[in-house]
Amino acid sequence: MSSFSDTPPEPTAQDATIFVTGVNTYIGSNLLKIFEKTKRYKNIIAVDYKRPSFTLKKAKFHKIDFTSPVADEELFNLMRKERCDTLLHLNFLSNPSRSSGWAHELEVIGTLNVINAAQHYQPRKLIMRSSTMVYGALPDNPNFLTEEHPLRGKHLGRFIKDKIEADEMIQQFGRRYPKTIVTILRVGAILGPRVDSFITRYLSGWIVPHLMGFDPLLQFVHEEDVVRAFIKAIDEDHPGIFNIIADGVLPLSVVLNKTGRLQLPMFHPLAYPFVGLLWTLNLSSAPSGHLDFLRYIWVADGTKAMKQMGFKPKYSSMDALDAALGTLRLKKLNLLEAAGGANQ
Amino acid sequence: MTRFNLVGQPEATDLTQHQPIPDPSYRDMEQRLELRLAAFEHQIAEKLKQIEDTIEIPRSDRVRIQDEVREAVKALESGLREEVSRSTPSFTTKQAATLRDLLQLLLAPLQGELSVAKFLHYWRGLNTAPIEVDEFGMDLRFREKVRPLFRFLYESYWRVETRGIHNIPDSGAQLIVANHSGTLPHDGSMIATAIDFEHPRHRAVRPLIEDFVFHFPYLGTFMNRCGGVRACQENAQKLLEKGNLVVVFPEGVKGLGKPFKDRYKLTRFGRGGFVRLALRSSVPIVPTSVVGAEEIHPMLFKIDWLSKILGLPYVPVTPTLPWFGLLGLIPFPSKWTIEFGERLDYSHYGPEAEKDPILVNKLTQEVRSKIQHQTYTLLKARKSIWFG
Repeated sequence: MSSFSDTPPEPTAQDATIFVTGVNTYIGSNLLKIFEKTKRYKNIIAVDYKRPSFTLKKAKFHKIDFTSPVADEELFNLMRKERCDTLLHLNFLSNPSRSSGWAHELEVIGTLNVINAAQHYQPRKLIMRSSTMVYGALPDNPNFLTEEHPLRGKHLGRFIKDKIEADEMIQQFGRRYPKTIVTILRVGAILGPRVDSFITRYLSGWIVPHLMGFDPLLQFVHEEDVVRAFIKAIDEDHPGIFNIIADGVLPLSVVLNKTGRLQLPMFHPLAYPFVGLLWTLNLSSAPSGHLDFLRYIWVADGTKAMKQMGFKPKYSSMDALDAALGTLRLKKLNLLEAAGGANQ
Repeated sequence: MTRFNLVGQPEATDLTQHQPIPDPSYRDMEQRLELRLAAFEHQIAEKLKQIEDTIEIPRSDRVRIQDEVREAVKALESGLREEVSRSTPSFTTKQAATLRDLLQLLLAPLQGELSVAKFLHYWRGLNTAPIEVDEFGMDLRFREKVRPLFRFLYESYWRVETRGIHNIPDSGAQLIVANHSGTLPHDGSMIATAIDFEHPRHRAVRPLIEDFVFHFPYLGTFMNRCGGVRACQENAQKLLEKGNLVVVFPEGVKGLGKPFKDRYKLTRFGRGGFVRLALRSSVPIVPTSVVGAEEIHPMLFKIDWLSKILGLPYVPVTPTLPWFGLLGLIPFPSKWTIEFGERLDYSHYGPEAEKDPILVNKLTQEVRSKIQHQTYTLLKARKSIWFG
């Protein structure tokens, strides 16, 4: 992580106070660790309903439960007191949750609370974490989805629907308050040695099911690249929406062959109810709507981030996959402890 | 990658013993080149990482050096590729595909599927041989595998005669606009095969295919691995920007599924999307006629209610299709002619002209009438459906 301190300090980031919501998420905890280490970030306020698992030296932690009805006021008061400059909104689930009502409260109502607070205080910058899953996997997707493409993943389940709603809310906020620099980073499927998500759980299963006859192109992004993109968005001003993805695409068959597990092709009309049943029985890591991500294409286009933000991913999709699979193998052999870092 | 036969024993992997591909030395050489390039690239990446970690160079310089090294590697790679493609022997089109090649092709997937060994193979995690696809999903090795099938259809079954191949450039982007026919889209694959076999540079073309193909298992994946891309403006533009040969059928499903009585009458050419594309990217258009494809599955009528239930664009009734089951999918062996017409260059209108709907419509009609005229000329010269 030493490479992050190499970047020259920007005048805007000198004494600015950075607010981070959702410090227990993967990106949040890693960013916080970098803030702790890097000198040029001076005032950091971490906000979440639970303390992060590591001790904070520089950052100040404030407990706010974003599902509570008074969260917006609490956040506003805090922002006014600490003179918030940059608000990083990362309070999103990385994995689909079975308690979808709570997930909706956390993601959609939580974002609403953040927007309400931001509307009153109007920070200089608002950065939000979104996902490329919001575009949805559909048979009539173009091979590379640009940022202007409509978000059509609503039918794929509550998990995606909530993310789309939050994304659209922040977009609307950006249109209404042009003074605030609003950056939305739509992150691709994150893989890496420290990531533990429904994707890594799918890849590490004893049997990897897939849909018979469907072999869509997939794309992954390395965890370090994601954090690097967020640091870039904090240090420099880049208003707009950006897809954060890695170079290269991989067919699903290549990914499955690389896992080295037993592959189970499923007939697609039967697979959806079957996975739905597994999901209700707590045996599957994702609901049946997510099968579409193994069926149709949902590859995003990263040229805008490269041209406007100057973000160049260090790792390709294959590198990210290799890193994740290597760790999974070591974990299987009990050579490595369970993935470090807290994940929600 | 080890192959397994029906009893689960590993097959001989020596490429020289059985030759599924016409020229083993060509394939071998390319593979070796690929491996060496990959190793070379890996080494350079390692070196770059080391340099990054150890030496303190100013940031701007480092980025510049990185870019320079990357460019040098790319130039070297493209040079090597060109050298190889120049030295590879061209495919002799007169040489008919042998029956053995075809049998091997048909049996190969069955052998893999039936053997227990394959599953053990997967289970042990040995099957990690990476196949590479380009960013639009084309797999060059897969193309190599299915080439005998297309060779058989092209040379022996439909005996395709290709004219005007000189209108296809050696490099750079071009839009090939053709008439669409035949109930099942064999014409796209035959245009691709024609350019693959007859063109001096054996260029890979990227046909734009209808969305409905991607709803179905196997079909969409197969077409995608062979080089097909979903038809939409974004994809087409990106392909042309990268200097690809793009085949479009502006008639779409309307042309493909027209009844036999309307054969060789071109239907409406979409909404002029291909002209706008050509104007925006200032890419020349090659009007192309395919004669013979209308007779492979003469459509008598369509069953509309069934197509609604099945979600298909149409359910055809041909002399063979529902009656003989899957055997009905075997097309009639008509004699085909593919003619690539003179290049139409509209770049003098400028990229702004795409916003002028009247001009776009006019040019669309111009291309359509060119193809229609070319098709009728070929039809007049044709004496027999089966023998040309």
